[in-house]
Amino acid sequence: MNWKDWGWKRWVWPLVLILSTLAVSLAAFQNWQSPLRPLITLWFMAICPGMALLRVFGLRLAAAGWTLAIAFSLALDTAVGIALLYSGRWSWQTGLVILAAITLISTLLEPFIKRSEGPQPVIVVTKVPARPRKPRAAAKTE
Amino acid sequence: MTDQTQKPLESKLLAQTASEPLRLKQLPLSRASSKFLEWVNTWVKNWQPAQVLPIILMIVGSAVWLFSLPQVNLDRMNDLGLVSTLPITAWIALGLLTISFSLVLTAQKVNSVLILFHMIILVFMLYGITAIVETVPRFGPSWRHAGVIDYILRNENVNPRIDAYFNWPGFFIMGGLITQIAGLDSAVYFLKWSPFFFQLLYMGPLWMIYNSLTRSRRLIWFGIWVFYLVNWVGQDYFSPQAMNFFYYLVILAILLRWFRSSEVTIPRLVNGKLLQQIPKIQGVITQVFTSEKAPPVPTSLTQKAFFLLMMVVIYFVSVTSHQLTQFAILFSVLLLLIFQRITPKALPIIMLVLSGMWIAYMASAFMAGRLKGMLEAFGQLETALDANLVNRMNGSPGHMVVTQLRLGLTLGVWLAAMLGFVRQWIRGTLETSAALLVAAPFPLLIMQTYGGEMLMRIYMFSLPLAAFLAAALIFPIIKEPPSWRYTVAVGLASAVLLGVFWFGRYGNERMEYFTPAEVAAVEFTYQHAEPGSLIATVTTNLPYKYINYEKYKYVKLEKDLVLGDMVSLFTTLKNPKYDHAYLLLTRAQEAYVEMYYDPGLIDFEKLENQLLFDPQIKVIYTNPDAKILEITNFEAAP
Repeated sequence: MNWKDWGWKRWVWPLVLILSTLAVSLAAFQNWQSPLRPLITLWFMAICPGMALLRVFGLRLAAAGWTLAIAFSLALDTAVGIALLYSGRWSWQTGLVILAAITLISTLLEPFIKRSEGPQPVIVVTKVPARPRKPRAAAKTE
Repeated sequence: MTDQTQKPLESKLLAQTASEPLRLKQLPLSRASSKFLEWVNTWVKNWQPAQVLPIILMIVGSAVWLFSLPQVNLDRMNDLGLVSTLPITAWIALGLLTISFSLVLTAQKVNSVLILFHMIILVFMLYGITAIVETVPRFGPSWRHAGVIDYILRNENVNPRIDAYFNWPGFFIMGGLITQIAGLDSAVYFLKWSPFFFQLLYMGPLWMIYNSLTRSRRLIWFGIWVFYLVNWVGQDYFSPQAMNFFYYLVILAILLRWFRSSEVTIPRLVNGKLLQQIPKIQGVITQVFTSEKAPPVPTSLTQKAFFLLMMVVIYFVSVTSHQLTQFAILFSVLLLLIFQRITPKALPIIMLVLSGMWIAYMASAFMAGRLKGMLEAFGQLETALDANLVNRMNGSPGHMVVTQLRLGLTLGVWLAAMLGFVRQWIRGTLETSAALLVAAPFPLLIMQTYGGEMLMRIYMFSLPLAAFLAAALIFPIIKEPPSWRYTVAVGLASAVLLGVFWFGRYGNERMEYFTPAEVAAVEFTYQHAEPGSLIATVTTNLPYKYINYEKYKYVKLEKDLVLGDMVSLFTTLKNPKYDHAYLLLTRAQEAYVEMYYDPGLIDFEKLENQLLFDPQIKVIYTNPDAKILEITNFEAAP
């Protein structure tokens, strides 16, 4: 892990993710009766697990990152819910613990994972020649 | 002591000022605040008076919009929908935003942040309006969806024998999980703002898709603007299809951005004997395969694997949530692969396996009785067109105007997309991927009629790329920065589309919005009716089924009333299987029959009078917008 790369900007998301997980867990398990609770829940469920996973894979994207984080978070929420329901173990507490664990573990792993860049793509256009055909006359003589 | 120490300092300072002027030392600022000041400084320096006008117009437009919303009177609404209630100030607000957007989009320098603000305000104006002007959530199916979530949370399971929702319950399970973690009693909480939320969500993947097709930021933003102006289908309410449309866009965005094919192989057929004789066609086909040279965004192998996993997870969730979207995704991926636009060849196979397994195992209860009918309907294009077009062209004069404008807008967008494609081609860019993705959803039409909604859904799936190609009719520009002609073109096109939008999108609003009185009547029914009772309605557009979904038997009397078959109607209501039956007559249902049928064909007052001749039928609840009739089907014990 190279801490030199870790300027204050790179700490923002990990902090937000950890604080969001704590906030939603406290709100849900302490049963806060506050109009803020649905908003905190929506924020966590729609952003955090996906964003944490994106970042652990070195995908720190600007605008696209938000979109992918939302899509992946909502998909993970659904997948966790389906797994719990169809296994006969439906419990929102278990669901929240799983999603919080995904978020926290990914966030804590992030500094230890090396960010790598992929190769630059090259466009290659290959023309495949037409398959040579035998002349009909030659075929007849055979 | 202090006097003694201060004196030499004073004299030192005086001596210093005599020799050189005293300079104030700059206070050390933190790095972040100095950067911020630097940014403000640059912004102020680069600020041009021409940039101020759009900002003022945007702010004034938003203020005028907020001022006009309280003036919307829903009681004045006619068969043209919400447009008939919009005050003149609302049109002024829309006009100001359009002018402002046209100026920003065609300014010398594209300011994406300012354009983004315009876009959010547009979405708020077009899709957030009902959440503000209507007191209770609109649209019957969204209430039903809250009811499915209520069932799942009460029973902690899904019963696939109830209806289709329980065979593709992914969205409802997610909704249930969020509802419980948020500490809410019901998912009704989410209904009101869903359209605004979903439409905002779509902006991200749209931006990614367009960004992978062009480098012109003007075209990207205008494409998104057009998308919002022509998206009349209204499938963004609290529903699986709204969520799945987002997944559809995200999968396309990932594929076009990170899985672009960098190696193109011209098919053997192109160099075949037949096409060699027609070199023009051979040239065009070669161009189709080789024209787009947008490289994929570089990623590492691990990241590519992660994206693949992400797409599989998202597709799996889509398979579990909606029966139609998965096929729209599958067809799009297949078409892109056939034309070598993308690389992951295994993806459609994985998708097909996931879809097949879900249908075979998890949705078998639903498919069992319907498979034969579905197979028979497959390929019946005439039936599909009848259900999707001919059967929808009826109703009151106002409703006919709405239907025709919807059809005109749909065909107009497709035509504009075709012209945009041709214009790009003439200019040397062949938008193959965009054209393929417009065409990909059309095979859905031969699959089934989808309750007469398939054409609408095809329009929805083709819209993202159709809007992009339609925007390309105006952009890209020949000269940079664009001339004033582009500003006028963007403004005029937006004005026309905005005008049509209100008819298309909210043309049925009279029967789709609900009043608190209607909700109160439904609530009364659920408080009064014993589980197992029969709940009868004329149509299905009412805010019901949001609670105890499985505990009542529901029946629709529309068909009997259209046919005038009162015997069948009485038989249904007086079915001895049910101790009590309740007939709900509401304002929205009355609006529905007035909009869809000839005047007098279904008369609520007449129906009520006919029913009340029966001593076992009585009115048990009434308010200005609803009436409930109770039918007692058992003999009271002596």
